Amino acid sequence: MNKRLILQLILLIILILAPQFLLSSYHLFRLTLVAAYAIVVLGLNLLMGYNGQFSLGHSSFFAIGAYLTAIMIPHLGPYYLLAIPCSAVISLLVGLIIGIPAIRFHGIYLAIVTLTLAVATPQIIKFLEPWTSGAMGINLDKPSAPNFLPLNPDQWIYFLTILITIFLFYLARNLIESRVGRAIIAIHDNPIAASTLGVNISAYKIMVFGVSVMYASIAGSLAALILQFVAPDVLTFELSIYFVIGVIVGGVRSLWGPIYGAFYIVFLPNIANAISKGAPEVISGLILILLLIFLPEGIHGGLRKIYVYLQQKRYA
Amino acid sequence: MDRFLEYFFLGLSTGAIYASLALAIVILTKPMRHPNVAQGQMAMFSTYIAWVLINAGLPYWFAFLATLVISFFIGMIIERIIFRPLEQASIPNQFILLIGLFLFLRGTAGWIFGYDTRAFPAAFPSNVPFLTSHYISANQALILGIVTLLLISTGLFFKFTKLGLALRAIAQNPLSSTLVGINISAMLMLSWGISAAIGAISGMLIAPTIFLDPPMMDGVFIYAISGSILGGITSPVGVVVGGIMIGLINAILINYLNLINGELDTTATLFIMIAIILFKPTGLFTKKITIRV
Repeated sequence: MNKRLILQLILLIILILAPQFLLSSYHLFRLTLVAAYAIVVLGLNLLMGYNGQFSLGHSSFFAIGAYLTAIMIPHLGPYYLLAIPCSAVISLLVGLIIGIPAIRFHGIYLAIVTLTLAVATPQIIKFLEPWTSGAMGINLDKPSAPNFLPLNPDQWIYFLTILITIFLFYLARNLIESRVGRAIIAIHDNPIAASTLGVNISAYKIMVFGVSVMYASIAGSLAALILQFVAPDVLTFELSIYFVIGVIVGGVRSLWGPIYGAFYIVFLPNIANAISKGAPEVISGLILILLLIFLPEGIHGGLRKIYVYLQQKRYA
Repeated sequence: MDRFLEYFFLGLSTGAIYASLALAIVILTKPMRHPNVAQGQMAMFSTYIAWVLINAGLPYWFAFLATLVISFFIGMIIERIIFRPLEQASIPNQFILLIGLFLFLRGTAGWIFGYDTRAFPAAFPSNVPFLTSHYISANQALILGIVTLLLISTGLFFKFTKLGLALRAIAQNPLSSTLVGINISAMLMLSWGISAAIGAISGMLIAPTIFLDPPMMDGVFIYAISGSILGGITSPVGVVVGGIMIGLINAILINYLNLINGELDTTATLFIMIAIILFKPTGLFTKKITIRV
């Protein structure tokens, strides 16, 4: 066991335990939400940053995860956590039905089809009123911790969320650093070269899309538990666009990016709404435009540049 | 039969509006090689400008034309300031830039004008029929007339003028175009201006029906894009036919036949889109696209 690994493990343990006991309920709640959003932004980053495809419809898969969890939980009793993987599988099916036709072609088709899905999703939710309570949404009860853990419900949901988040990040990192990951990146960088080297482009694209869909669904399931409420009118395509913003602002093609991006998604609207209802969008739009012109790699890229600059000053 | 004709003309005129937005989109899609997702927001913003002018007392047609001119310039300015730094960037980066523009315009409209819906006047009062017809109103006939005029003039422009030729050239082969002396940046600016102006037309024509608020053009954009996919996303004729078809399909399936719940219009469009992509992905009017390696 080398020093670095021990250090990482210690940091992880601090991440899991410290906030629960140090932060107030409200701040813990916000942090839990950040962790959940980090999952969906990570999934989208895998799709956009590493594989180069565009989805404007991840709000739909997020919504499917959230709604299916909300609907299933009352029937699952103590096994409520099963709702999360079940919703993920169903989201995957929907994603494949929508995505497989579109992925075979130029990226813009996927973007348009997913955008249409995102716009259609609130309609479908309201249409399925007998199961979804339509526009009124569904309320969930916050699950309490199992008896052997001395945690209140807020702490328990944080614990659950952060564990799932760390696990999913770990999986993503393993994916990226494997042969599969290199194939995925190759498809983005130079699809023609990749295909001549034997990479099955469609298969990998569909696989990454599927993974990102499941990540979005899991994030949605967790969000439903955290917010204790699901409703169609907050699960619109604008949420999808916020996910995309999270990917870009945080840093495309990086594993840290989604974390910064998630913080942005959770905190910016609150800060900007104080100025005006339209302000979050104006600011996000401006930030996106300026980032692309001056700093396309987002916050992560910016931090890396600063780090490299400081290193150079040290050795110059 | 009566009702059918009523809905037929409703679908036709609404489809014509989708077609006009689709035309605005396709003019930029060809040189940029991907659709301008902010087109709907640009049209919405133009419609707000028209609203301001009309509220300031300008007669309808003065405001209409003034908005066209203003939108043209706004389109050119957007290209010059926002798009030009990224002209050479990859398509995904340009796409994100357009999403940024989308958000910026939407938020700005919301900030300045608020999110309440407003009424927007039409050229004629809504119950005035076209001549003596029972089936088509004066406004609908006007919409069809304007869009037909738009199509013809755009077609003539691109086919028979030098500028139109230049715009087609930069879409087909940018490198050769530079070599024969065409200023690509200037031509792109022009394309953005034209696109913005045509988008403004579609916004002003649909606003009386769906009322003016920042999310106004979302639905229109989706229908215009699905019409483009139906007709062939790089063919001007295709996108127009596609837009009209989507309008007709919507009107007939949803309103006349009541086959599909009215609340599910975008859902129905989604299924149509998937069907098209499965069976005829290049659309009805485009040939297969081959990429040379």
